[in-house]
Amino acid sequence: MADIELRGVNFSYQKGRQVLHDINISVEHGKTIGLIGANGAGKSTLLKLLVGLITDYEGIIEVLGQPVEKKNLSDIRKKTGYVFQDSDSQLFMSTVYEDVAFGPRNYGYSEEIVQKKVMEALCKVHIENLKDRQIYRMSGGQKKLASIATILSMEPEIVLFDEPTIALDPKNRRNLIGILNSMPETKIIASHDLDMILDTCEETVLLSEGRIVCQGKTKDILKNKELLEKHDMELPLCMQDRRTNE
Amino acid sequence: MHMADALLSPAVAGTMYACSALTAGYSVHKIRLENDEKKIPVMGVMGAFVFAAQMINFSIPGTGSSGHLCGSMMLSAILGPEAGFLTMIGVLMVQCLLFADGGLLALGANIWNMAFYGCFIGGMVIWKYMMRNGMSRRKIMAASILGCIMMLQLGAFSVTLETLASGITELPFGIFLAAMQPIHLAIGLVEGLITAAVLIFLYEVRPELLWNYHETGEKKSRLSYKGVIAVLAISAVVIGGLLSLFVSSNPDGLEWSVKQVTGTTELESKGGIYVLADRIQSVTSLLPDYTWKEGNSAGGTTFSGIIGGIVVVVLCIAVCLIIRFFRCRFGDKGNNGKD
Amino acid sequence: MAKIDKAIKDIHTADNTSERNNSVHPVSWLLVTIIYIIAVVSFQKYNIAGLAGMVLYILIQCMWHEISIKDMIKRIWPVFLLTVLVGIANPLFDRTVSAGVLSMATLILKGIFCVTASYILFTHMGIRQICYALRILHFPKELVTILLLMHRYLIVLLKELERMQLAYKLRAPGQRGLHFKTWGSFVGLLLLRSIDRAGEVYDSMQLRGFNGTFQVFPERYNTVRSVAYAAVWCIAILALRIFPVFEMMEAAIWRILNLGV
Repeated sequence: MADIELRGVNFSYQKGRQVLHDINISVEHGKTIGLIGANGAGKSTLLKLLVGLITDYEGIIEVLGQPVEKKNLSDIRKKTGYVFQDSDSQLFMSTVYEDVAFGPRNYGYSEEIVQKKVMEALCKVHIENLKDRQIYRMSGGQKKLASIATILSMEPEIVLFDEPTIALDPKNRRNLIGILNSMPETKIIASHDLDMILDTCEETVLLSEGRIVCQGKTKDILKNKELLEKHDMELPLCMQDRRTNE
Repeated sequence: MHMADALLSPAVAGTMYACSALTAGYSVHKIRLENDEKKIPVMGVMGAFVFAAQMINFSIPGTGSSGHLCGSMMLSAILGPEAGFLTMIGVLMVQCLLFADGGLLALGANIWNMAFYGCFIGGMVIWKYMMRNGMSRRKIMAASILGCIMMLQLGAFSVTLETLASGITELPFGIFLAAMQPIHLAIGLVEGLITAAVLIFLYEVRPELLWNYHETGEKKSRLSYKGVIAVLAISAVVIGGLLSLFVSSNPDGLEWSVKQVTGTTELESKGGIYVLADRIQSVTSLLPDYTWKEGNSAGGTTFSGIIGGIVVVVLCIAVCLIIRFFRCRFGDKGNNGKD
Repeated sequence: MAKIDKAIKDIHTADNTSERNNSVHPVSWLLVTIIYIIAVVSFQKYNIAGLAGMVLYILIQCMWHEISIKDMIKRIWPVFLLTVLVGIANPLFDRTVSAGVLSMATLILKGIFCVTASYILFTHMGIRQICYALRILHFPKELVTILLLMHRYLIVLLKELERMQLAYKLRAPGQRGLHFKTWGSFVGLLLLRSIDRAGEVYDSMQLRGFNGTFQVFPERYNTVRSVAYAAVWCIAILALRIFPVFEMMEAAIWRILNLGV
């Protein structure tokens, strides 16, 4: 059974302004799916639907076999991590340790287990040394890694990323791609950074104005210059280079 | 203005702590009853917002000076009085504990003077009462100005009482009051105008964020301009009358404050103050507990208080009209006004 | 601008210093400071000799913890002005002019001592220590949560404000403050950004099992040192409050001199 299943999902914030039209996606366990599309295509909305931040949709959404409804939310959220676009919104405690420990503590683990989970999560993203750092003193790249650690400490089965590479410098971006590839969880990555999508996702969904335009192997979609340009995007930089060289 | 520790005696400070703690307890109770999880994070971030907003310099047209924001009225118009009060406590505590601004002992008094009146008088009484039949720009303007003036007048009055009750200064009650109230009238007016500007902006952009906003109620009835003026006038007369009773110990005080407000700075010369001081000194030094000076008919001073009140009302209306004028003239080009 | 910079710097200082020396329990610090302030404030208004003895606490703390006198004077200045303003009338209205001068001097000294004591506390407590102490003293959880969040978002919003002000100033050169036509929209925008931010923060908390308040977890302090610290200082402060140390020292010196002669 698929980890994430969307069938015929429609959603609108206000009456008459539909944001998502008839979305059908199925994500197998352990897969990484890229979600691409221009600004306002509905990527973030789709991710929010999956964790129940928005609940008044039409259609069927199932996460780990459970329909996304009020009564299942705490179960689903325990197993589904969401990495926000703006790390400053994600990290609200004063130090890294406190923040990474926030989730496990809320789920009632004892302090020793919390500590173990926090250290494991920090090791996975290689920021053990930043454990006691005040968050407002960290760089953008460090904050991004810390916010991923806050999710990993809850040991989720699914992780959703909203624009993970935005505002990162090339080195931090490289580092993040490495970490994304090392994570065994089921992942959905929403981004404009097509090179990153190419490096991390086997499959990709192209959204345009709330509709799925195309769904399939990442390489096939990101090679298709016409398709991308029709939906306000460009070829990934690495492919552009190859073309000019040829 | 933050009270300093040195201006309070332990007894007064303790009393003010008790008053503030009681109100805080009530507010926490109310918040828990509401059981709205989302409110706490909003309160935290709004506290940080107030802190930041207090650092903005607002240039006051035509004076060359600049004003500042206290923010409790604004907070309770958005979060409601109880949540606003708790948030202001947060702001004052951070200022006191993290910035050593305003003393530890004076914290209770500061919470009372700066948060209580703005949230519970300004928010719970004035805002709630005036918005009960729906909101409008005028009503927001009137409620903000009235609320902020009330809040700062009462706050300044409390500062005076607290300082005098602590036996810190030898300054006679009347003179102290006459020095405090008019200054805070001006401060209150500026605070009111800033608050009104921000709340009107919010009302036009995202009205659902305002406390007690009901979309349906809006069309039901609109408080007429006359009604607003009447409310303003009555409250100003009442406040003026009451205050002047207190000021009756020093009949010159109010005159002086009125002059300050109207701008004629015919302040007595140094000699004048000395003579006055001498006269009052002869009374105060005889009576350790300061009592009302005899020979002043309460009626007479109340009358002069009402005149002072009228001046305040006229001033408020004038400012409203001026702002309205400017909004009609220039404002509507820039913002897609709803009105 | 300068004010914002100063506030940001203050937050950094508080965090730095509180990270350095944290073996004494924050409740001990709070207790000693409050007792000191109450002792100072409770002096009679003419008892300047007794009050002067209270300077010992400040001197010892400053020397012990190497607190910068320069920073401290900057702190004292506004309160000094305030107390002078309130006290200035005392020479006119008090029993005699000399009594008035005495009571004014006492008031000013009280002001200086209290602010200094608060400043010493401030250099020893970061937000974590404060919240921990407040929880122990049974402050409502909601309030502690508000404080923690406020501290976290202060710098975010202050920097936001700084950027907005810079953008404003660059397009409105020579203005001293915010023009009144922009009062509403400028502050309103900051407000909207704050509210939106709060919404996102709440989402992020919700996704990690938030149930209304934060839990503040115990930190490790040296109990013996904490108790000893509080006990020694409380006794010392009470002694300073009861015995006029300077007068006694003077008397002792005279006695020794007399004996010598």
